[in-house]
Amino acid sequence: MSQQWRPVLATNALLRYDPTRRADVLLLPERAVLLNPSAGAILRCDARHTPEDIERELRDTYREQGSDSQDSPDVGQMKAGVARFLQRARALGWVR
Amino acid sequence: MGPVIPPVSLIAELTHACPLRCVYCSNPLTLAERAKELEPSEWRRVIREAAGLGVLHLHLSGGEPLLRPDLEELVAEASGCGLYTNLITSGVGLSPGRAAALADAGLRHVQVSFQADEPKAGDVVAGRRVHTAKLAAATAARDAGLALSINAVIHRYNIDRVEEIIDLALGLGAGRLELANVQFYGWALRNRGALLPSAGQVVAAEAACRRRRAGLDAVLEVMGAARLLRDLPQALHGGGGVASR
Repeated sequence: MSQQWRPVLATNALLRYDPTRRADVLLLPERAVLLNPSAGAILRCDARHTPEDIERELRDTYREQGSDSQDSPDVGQMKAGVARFLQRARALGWVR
Repeated sequence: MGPVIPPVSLIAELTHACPLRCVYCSNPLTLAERAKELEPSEWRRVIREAAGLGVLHLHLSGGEPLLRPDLEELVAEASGCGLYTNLITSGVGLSPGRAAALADAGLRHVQVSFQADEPKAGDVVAGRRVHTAKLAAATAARDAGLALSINAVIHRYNIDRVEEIIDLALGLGAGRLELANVQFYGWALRNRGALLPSAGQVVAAEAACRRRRAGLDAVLEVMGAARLLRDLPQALHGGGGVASR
């Protein structure tokens, strides 16, 4: 994955919170994706961010929310997880 | 009774009027009179209630939904409720101006039907000279920034040209292509003798789809190729196994 890649939602995608299912949903032609909280948080990061920025921002958010260091995920694992998710999202046409 | 799972999508048949006369669909006896169609205010209420139930996708269909002058109003209502709105259309009546107005109202996605990959066969199946208008409609949708899908109903007279249909969808900038078997009820059931492809045609079309699909994944999503095999064989064995939805 390019270091310079700044993922942006596909132009035909609509990302929003669904109060009925109490979750973020990603809506695409003929497809509705129910997102878990971390997937929603990643996709909500806007196009100015690289995957590394997104990972850092999420880490800061979790820190602010007061997760203590024992609960927060390993930095390496989290970086890999965000990168893997974004690659999958790109392959599926959710982001470009 | 367990918990109710919220519905994901609503298909709204806004009208049964249609400018096309496709042999497998045309319903000159009319399913519902235009005077019995729901009023704009009734549809707006239905859309709001659907969104409240958890519906995420609204498919505006018909007949030909573009015949409803209140279409933009209904799209705007749906968009205001957060629904992802799709227009299922023959393309007839989708001028650049109308496409732009619908996009402004919040429409996201247009599905244009094609009867064939070229005008001669297309116009015969549709019973009207509409193929050229469909090409223009697909272009208007793309120019308005809308996602585009192509839907082709597959039968004996176009199943040998699925590759050309794939090329048509690619050329129009579609993101999805649905290859949909004729659904054998109504007029299609009466005309099944003429519409059913042979087993050999089905096998060849399936192979062509598989061959083309490999190189297309990221560009164009081809739906329904597997269905060509799944649905048809039962109908091929002597007419007793009519495919139902």
